[in-house]
Amino acid sequence: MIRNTVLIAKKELLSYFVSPVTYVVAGLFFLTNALFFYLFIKEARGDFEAITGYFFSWLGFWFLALFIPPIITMRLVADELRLGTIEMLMTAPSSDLGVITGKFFAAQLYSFLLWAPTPILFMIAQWSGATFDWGIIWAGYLGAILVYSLFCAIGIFTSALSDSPLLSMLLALVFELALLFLMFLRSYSSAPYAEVISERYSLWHIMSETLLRGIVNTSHIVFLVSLTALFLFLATRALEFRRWK
Amino acid sequence: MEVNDMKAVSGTTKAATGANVAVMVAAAVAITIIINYLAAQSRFQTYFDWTRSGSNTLSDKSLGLLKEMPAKLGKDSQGRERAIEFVSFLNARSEAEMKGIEMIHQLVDVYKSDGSGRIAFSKFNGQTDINAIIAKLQELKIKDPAPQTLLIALGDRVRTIYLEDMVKIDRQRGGMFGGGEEGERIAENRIEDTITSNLLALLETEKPKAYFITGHGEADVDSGDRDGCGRFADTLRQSGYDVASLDLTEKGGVPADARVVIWISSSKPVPPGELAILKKYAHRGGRFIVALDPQVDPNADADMLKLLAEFAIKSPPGVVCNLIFDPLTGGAASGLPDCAEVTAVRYQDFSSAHPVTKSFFEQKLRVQFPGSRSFERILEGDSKAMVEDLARTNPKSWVDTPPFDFRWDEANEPQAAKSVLVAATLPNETDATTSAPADVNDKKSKEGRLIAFGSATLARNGGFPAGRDLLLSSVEWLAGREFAAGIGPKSLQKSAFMDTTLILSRIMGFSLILGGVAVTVAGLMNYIRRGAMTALIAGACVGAFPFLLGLYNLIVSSSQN
Repeated sequence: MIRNTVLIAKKELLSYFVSPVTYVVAGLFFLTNALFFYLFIKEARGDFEAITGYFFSWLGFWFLALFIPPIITMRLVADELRLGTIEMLMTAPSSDLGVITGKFFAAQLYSFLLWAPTPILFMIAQWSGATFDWGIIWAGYLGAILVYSLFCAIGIFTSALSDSPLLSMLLALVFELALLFLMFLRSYSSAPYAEVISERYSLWHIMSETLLRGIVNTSHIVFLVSLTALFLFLATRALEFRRWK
Repeated sequence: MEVNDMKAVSGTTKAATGANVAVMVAAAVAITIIINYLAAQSRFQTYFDWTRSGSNTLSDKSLGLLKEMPAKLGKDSQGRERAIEFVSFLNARSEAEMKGIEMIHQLVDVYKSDGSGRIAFSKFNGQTDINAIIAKLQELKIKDPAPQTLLIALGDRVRTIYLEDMVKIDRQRGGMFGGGEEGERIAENRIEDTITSNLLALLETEKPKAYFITGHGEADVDSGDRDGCGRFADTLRQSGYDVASLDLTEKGGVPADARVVIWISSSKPVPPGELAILKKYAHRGGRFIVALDPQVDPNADADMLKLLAEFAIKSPPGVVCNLIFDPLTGGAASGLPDCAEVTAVRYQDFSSAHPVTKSFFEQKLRVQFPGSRSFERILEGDSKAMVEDLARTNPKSWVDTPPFDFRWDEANEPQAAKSVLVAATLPNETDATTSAPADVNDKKSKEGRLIAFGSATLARNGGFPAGRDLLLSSVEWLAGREFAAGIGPKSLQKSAFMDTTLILSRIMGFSLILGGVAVTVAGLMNYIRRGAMTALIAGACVGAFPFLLGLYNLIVSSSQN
């Protein structure tokens, strides 16, 4: 199964890299981050610790995180369903889980590659005299990787639910926003669990209140990884259900 | 098989598959919830602090206190476990304050999670939680609340900590390099230091007592003048000590409740009887801080040196000087006098092993010793004292002898690293006559201890900001509260007020280069995939423009720098 997963991941990755759009998206992604970084430096007025906080938790970060993974994943299963090529994939010697995880790893790797050049921004600033706490920066990257992985898994799940890429992207956005805005739960409920959930499981809270303070909490890592695994599992079940529908 | 039969079979299969999927999804969701529930339990949950200064991690000293806390707290009269409550009335009035308050709340959360369930923490917003604040103040029986405070309460005993005790905010505005970039900055983080000291003060039923020797021209403990010791005394009080003056003639001896005796630079002779009392106290487990001033008259502090001699320490007359180094090149600084009497001890010249200076080494802190004397060990004689250098100057230092000209006399003033802070221990002579102590710790608690400061200026109001942490750490070690001695301030990220134009220019240059490369590769891929030569040429041409512009930008910005 692992071999088939790797083969599917390779095929999907190759399809990304032969497309010119990929490079334009990668360039735009970097330029957007560079633009935000540029603005943060101006805004933070020499407080370089604050720049790390802005970079990984400000609106720009979440805007890209909300849209990039669904855009990467929206076609992965939906197109196969729409074009009927899913039948070929299903008859190949690979399980549903192999297909889903192969596509997930390809999307995940592509999103990591989008992030790969961004540490250069911090390095340039450091080269020019700024000082950073790199522990906090790496914690920010860990958070970004985990959030993008989760959103890719959500994207694949919603892609398996619908033939329409656009609909799957909108569905993914709904799930992502729900996770992001769990922090408002306590505003609407006075139940004790509401506060715990808001504090512990809101993505915003995990990024801003812990990772960007340099704290890596195992319960947050378990939450993000387990939720990613859950959505991947749901995607395989969705695929199975559609096959028999 | 009939069509209807096929439909029936198909329908059954669909229903079975649907049920199977539903059951498996429910099981997966349940497993995820269970895993996360377990992961959130304190026994399975752990966190890692990735910050460079370890600002989210409590020192071993604070953890030691928290470990002992349940036993110290015990139970109340109704058999319930007593708990400590942190109450924050801190509200930000500026961005720097907001950052400082966040750091405080964050660290209190760490105390809470390491506090074995015996610490509660509540935060109140001064603008929105008015009724809740009033109720809390009534509960704590506080009638006259101070704003911007963190309270630590144990029953009806409450300690009040002010924001400025924990974070020092530099409100000075103006660019260091002449740039227009300016704003408030957190200059000092002593959150853990302050909280642990107050926690300790709350847990201790009996306040340790520190005595300042008076009567021989010493710095006045109640004075707010530049030469007084009022700030030192106030800081000790904030850390849970009782502070009093000690006139040996009046008292006839060192009081039995003295945990530390502080002697800040006497300028008059000490009567032989008083000196005998101090020597006797030293040999019976007495604890001293002794701080010297440079003396033009070598006899002025001869009696202080006699006490030091009991601990096998001597101090040659004169002031420690050192060459001023350029912090960037490491060489002698140009355009400045070639030496200074304000000697800076670099972090690497602090003892990394001793509880008093360990945190200075670990946190890479440097301390200036203005007008400092130096110390040497007395090798002759059969003293059982153990002497340890805690802080040394750089190897280009010398002792400038009277008349002070602060110039290096190569012939008479050899250059070497000079010790400006020493710690000494002396076996307790009363132990020798009694049975052996139960354990090493017991023995340590009874040994005589002394810390000698080469610069009394550090203990005076004028120089106290520079000496505060060393003095406080020393007092804690001498008082036998070793765990509180090594906390010290946390080093902060050095974020200078700097001109950011260069950074912005370089980021723009690099982004243009990368953008150009991305467009060119996109054109190349189009050519490879579809054989479109036009796309390749267009990609190369369009990509070349930002690429060259970015390259030019990088070269120009770097050459201007």
